[in-house]
Amino acid sequence: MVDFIQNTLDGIFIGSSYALLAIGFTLIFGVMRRLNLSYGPSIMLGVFAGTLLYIQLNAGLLVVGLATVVGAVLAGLYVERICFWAVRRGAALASMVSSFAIWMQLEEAVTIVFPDRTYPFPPLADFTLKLGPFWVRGEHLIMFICASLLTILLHLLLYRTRFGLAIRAVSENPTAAKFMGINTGLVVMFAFALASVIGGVAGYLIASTDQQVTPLFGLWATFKGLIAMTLGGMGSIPGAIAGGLLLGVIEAQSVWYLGTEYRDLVAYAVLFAFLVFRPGGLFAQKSAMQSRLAARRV
Amino acid sequence: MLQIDRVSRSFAGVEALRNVTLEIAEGEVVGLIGPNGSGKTTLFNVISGLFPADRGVIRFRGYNLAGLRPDQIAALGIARTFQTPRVFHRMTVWENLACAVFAGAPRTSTLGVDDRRHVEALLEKSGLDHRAGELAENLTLPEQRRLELVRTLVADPGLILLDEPAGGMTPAETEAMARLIEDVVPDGRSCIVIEHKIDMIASLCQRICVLDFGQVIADGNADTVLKDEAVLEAYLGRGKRA
Repeated sequence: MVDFIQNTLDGIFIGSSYALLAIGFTLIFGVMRRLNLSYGPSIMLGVFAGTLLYIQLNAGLLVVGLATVVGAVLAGLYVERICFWAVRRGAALASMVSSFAIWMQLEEAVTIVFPDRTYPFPPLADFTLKLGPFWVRGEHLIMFICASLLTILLHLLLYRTRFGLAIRAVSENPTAAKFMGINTGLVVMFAFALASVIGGVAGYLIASTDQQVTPLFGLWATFKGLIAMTLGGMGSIPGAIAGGLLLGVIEAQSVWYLGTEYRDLVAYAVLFAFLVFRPGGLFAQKSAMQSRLAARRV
Repeated sequence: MLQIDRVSRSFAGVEALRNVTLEIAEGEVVGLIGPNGSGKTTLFNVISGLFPADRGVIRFRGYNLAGLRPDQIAALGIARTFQTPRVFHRMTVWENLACAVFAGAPRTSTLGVDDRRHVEALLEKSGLDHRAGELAENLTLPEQRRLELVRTLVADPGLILLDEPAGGMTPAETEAMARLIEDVVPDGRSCIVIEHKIDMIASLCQRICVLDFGQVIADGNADTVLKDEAVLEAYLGRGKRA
């Protein structure tokens, strides 16, 4: 039982970073109703910006963190301009395919500049807490606290500010938002930037926990974020949080009881089970879907 | 205030609007009627910038609307409602109106005292004051239509386009909506109302414009237009078609 609880705790801590990735995907999916497959790679670009400063200038944690977030935001805005703004009037599939192309482009660019398999990333903390029979790694605890704070800030932003109202309006009914006078293009761009900030923080927390980065980080972040978003319910921020935590716990339990090699296998099995038996995810948004369908009948 | 000059718009070879010419004066409330598919909503969509006109010019307070985005047209002072109410279902009634305040005032970051009073006054007029904290998805259809109507008024527009504001309503609800429009729309604002309920149009509008197959077939005093033979034939199905 102690092992099960310990695994659950570890899973929640790791899952908090998955939740951040899923929130980023959700924000973009919410305002565009399109999947941004380049989200993970744009975070990867930010992480490599951080590691570059660390390797070349031996920069401190704060500078590396800032560089990671700024790099992720710049890459995110580049993706928005190329894949979503330029083909806004086109089919959703065109945006998704072009975001896949940009994914490959970003990965190639990083591989050219960083040809080795892995690069070092500065650790965030180096301590372990003992709480009764349970152990908590310092970087996991910091990851969880940062993710929680960021989620609270995001909630306040969405529900207490004019920018948040605009994002929610565009997410729910972009046509009505436009006719009310909201510049939806600008809101989409800000939403991308916001998602990139969240992704940058998640990338920083994950890379500093692993203490290394690889060009495959983009692929990893995209998969984790997409799975967590789908488990929670596409377009739902509470769903993204729940999906991230659930994915973390599933992975931690799988590693302990079945072995590391079964971690992803079990995660994908659970994903398929959700897609078959509860395709809307944990927080299926029935009413939102109905309202969007109704909104199409102008 | 609004000049529509020989505006045409086609979809896949079908002319939805053909050389429509219409002028709306300051403070005028005009009824826009016509059979289904006659081009009424298309005209609203072209005026409000959902899609451009193929030919012709639309001017609002002297500004040519060609090439402007819907949000830019809204910023000039044209607001609209939809056949199916497009309220934000996952926002409260209050948030729906707050959102409109912010949309109409790009430099505002918080609601001022005047904004709050304005919103409260609109909520009271619309009878939604007791439901301000309710999610819009929980409102009835008439309540959603009332919310959408007052939401258009938040930014104090010069021209309001109402697309079937009483659609799907009972006679009593239609009467209440007509009174609400009478109550909130004047004050120098112009308004174009699309509605199939002729009694409502006759009570609200001094002037009626009739569209048929994308063309204006009658335009003038409500009493005269509603007795016009071409209108009776095209819209009410009398005359030769009877």
